[in-house]
Amino acid sequence: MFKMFWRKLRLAHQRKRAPAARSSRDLSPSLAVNLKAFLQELGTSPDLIIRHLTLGPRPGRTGALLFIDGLVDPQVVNRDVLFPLLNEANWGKNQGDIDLLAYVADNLLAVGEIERNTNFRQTMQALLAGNTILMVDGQAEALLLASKGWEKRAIREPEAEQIILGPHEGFTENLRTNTALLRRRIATAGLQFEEMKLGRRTQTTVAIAYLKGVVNEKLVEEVKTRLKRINIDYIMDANYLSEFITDAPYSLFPTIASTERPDVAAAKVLEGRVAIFVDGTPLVNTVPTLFVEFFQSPDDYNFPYQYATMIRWFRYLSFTLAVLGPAFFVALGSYHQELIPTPLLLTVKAATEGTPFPLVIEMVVMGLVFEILREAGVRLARPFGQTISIVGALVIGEAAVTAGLVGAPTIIVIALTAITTFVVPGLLGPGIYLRLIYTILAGVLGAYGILTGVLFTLLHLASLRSFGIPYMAPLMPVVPADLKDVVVRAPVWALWTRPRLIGWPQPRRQPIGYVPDQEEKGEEAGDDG
Amino acid sequence: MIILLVLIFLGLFLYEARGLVAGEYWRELAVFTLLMLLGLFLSILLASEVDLPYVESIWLDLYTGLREGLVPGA
Amino acid sequence: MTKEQISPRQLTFLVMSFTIGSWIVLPSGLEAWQNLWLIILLAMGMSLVFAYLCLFLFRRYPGKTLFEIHEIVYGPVIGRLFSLLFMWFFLQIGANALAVFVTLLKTRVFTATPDLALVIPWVITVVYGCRRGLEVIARCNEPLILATAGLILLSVFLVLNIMELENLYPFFNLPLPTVLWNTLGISLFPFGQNVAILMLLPQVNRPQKVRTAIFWGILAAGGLLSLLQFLAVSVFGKTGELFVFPTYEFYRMINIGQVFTRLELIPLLNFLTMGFIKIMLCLYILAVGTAQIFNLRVYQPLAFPLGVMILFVAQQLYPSISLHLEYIKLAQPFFGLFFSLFLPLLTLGVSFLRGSAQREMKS
Repeated sequence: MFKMFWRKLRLAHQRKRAPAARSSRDLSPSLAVNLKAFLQELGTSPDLIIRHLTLGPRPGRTGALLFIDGLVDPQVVNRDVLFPLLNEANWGKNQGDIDLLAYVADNLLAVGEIERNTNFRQTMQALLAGNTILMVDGQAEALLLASKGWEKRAIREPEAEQIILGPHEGFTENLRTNTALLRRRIATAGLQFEEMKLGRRTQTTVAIAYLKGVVNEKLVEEVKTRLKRINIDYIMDANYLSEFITDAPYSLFPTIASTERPDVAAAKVLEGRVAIFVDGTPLVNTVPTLFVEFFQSPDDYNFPYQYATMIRWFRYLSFTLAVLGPAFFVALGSYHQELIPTPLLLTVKAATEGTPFPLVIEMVVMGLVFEILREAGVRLARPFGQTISIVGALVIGEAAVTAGLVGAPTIIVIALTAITTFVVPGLLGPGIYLRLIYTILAGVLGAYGILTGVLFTLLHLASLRSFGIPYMAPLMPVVPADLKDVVVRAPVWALWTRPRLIGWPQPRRQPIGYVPDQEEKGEEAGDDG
Repeated sequence: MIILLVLIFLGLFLYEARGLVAGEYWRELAVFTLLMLLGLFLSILLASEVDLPYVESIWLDLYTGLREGLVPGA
Repeated sequence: MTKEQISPRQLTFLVMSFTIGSWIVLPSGLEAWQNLWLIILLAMGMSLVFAYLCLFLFRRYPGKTLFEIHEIVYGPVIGRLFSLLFMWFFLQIGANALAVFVTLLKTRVFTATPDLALVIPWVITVVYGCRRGLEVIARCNEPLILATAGLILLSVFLVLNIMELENLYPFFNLPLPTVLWNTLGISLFPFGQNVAILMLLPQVNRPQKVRTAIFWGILAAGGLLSLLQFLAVSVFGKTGELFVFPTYEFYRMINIGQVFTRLELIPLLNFLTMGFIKIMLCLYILAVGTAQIFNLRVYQPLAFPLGVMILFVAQQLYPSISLHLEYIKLAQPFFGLFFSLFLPLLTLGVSFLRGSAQREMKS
């Protein structure tokens, strides 16, 4: 099996190297040849602009400026590149045969980032990435001028991760904006970015960010190796990457979390995690990911800790209810009726009198109906959403009960489940699956079926790892020190240490044992500051 | 019922054996085959509801036999 | 085979689950019912001595499982025979736990469900857990044993309104032989089965802490069992000995303000998880043991056929619960004595006679 694996790996490696061989082509000294090559590769796309000009002291040499309309900032091209080049006075006392490109770069152009390149393919890539290319006849070289400037979405509040208090900025589709958002929150030299291009055709920039000194160096290496192993033609979103680099490709549970909030990403990087940015998407992956992270919200840290602890427990409760609620109702209703207190049992019995289907079928079908309504509500244009909810709630729910097709308690349980499911949005998918499976198990074997299902799930969860870290830590295995941010949300001054399995290279965040209303004691934190 | 059992065992056997053959785990394959056959045999016995002695009855009989042999009349 | 590592704390928890296992729903020694909780404490003390003796083996051959020790001490052929004997022991422990839990479910909750429908999901889960390995079992066990321990401690408050301390009297009105016999029986039945843990010890990541970990595990398990029986006696009094599953019946009695009644399902499910862990461990030990006997590099494929064997033996263990109770009373102590004490001591003795362990390990 390992052999097969190796062979696959090697194959992938070779395939990846193949385009590199072609890219060694150099630029030609003749401008005409170069331009022809560019036109051959790019076709006659109308957005490729070629500006011919004459450069240098009289009589001058022919040159050309290439850029992609829409990717460059016209201000930069016109004011900072074209204007100084066309102004004859700029050539000074120079005579005919000078290194024109060097002179231009050093004396004329008001552009911050200039690179000289002799490679055709790299020049082409730079052009496609939004740089302006300057070439002159007689020099087998090109100047790559940084002139990127395209339409961007403004920084806005993320729709999917709402919070009440705290910062409302969200990541955007532009990689540089996103890295800047992170760096603005972590102003230490330790914060390091590394970039690579992934996707053979999209050449998407992927950046990883980590905090040197806090992060486990092996983790960074592992992330880089896994990213480099990816061989795919296009990458549109962070999820393309996370499905490639996950530890458990067949598991229901996500072992890589993503966020749209810079404050969340910054907090995770500060704990010793690695953030993976992908150009073109506002989602940032953070690894390693623990199961408990899905139950944490930035609001937990923006509210007083007593309240935060409470809402966190509501979240645990909601998830349990969302996953197990219908199953328990089915088990109680069809197997363990003696466990329901008598008055309640009588009410339920009266309400379900005469419904044609077994409880489990009612529950599964109504659950599916709800999921379909939800999906319809998400995909539709907003004005239709109202219609959906009215049709869903009134027509289907109310009418089904009045017609005697479904018992009213079933609708109540489904409604409760529906609400609680959304409390933990990160685990929506697994939650729906688990609920369905447990409900069916409960219909077959009652509480015993649920128990078997839950144990199976626990075993599966305990076997998962995310980049080497046990997924269920600090619960399975129990890491007592880390329970301070899981069982409760300890006050910020008491969150002394980083998660032990992740931030162990620099475990302390702040002086251990510091309590606000007492005089300062305890040692200084050994942090890099 | 017995056909179903054979199918289940065969399916699981093939699933495991593929990995074992690929890794050239011959000894493992032999022991695994042996145990699978034993398991199949036992489950067929169970499914066909043959009257078999119960394990704890055997131990109890052994115990009574030994006690009467060692301490006559007890 | 890759060596998976567990921490001493996980070992403690595993010992607790393994000890609590099936005994918690079907206690032995019911003839001493009213003093059972004291007898558990005595038996716990006794089993600590046994455990100490068995751990001598581990200290003499650090990093070796029981089966490997057999091969070193008795040579490859006889050693393997001894190992096979133990395989039967582990098989019967697992089957016993499975059978007891299925009997409980069958007679008390799912009276209309066929046996196999209860056993098969159980075996599937256990085989899955076994294939995932010891680390996963140990990790999964942590919250489960904590929940069980928490529940037992919580029961103290749940029964405050129905317990009567007079029910505990009379103290020790039993003949001494009954006390001793039951102490021995209990020290062998839930506690003595821990000899199976000898198969896991080399996988503990800090071997110097193994002894403390096991002792704490036995102490905690004994304390919990004793507490539970204490509560059951104080609720039922003398009548409790009539029940086959006293702990289950005991939770039925709980009634707090007419609201919290009929709570027995929650503890039942909770104790079932202990059974799952116990059988999973047995299956893991069986699979790893087979792999060691035959010098195999992987044990995972063996989990399924061995699981089927546990299922088979569990189905063929006893025809009725009364026969099982008789077996527990008469034959089980001898059976346990043979495996939990006699065989390990024999191995220890032979190993001493054969001289330096270190020299043998090097050869």
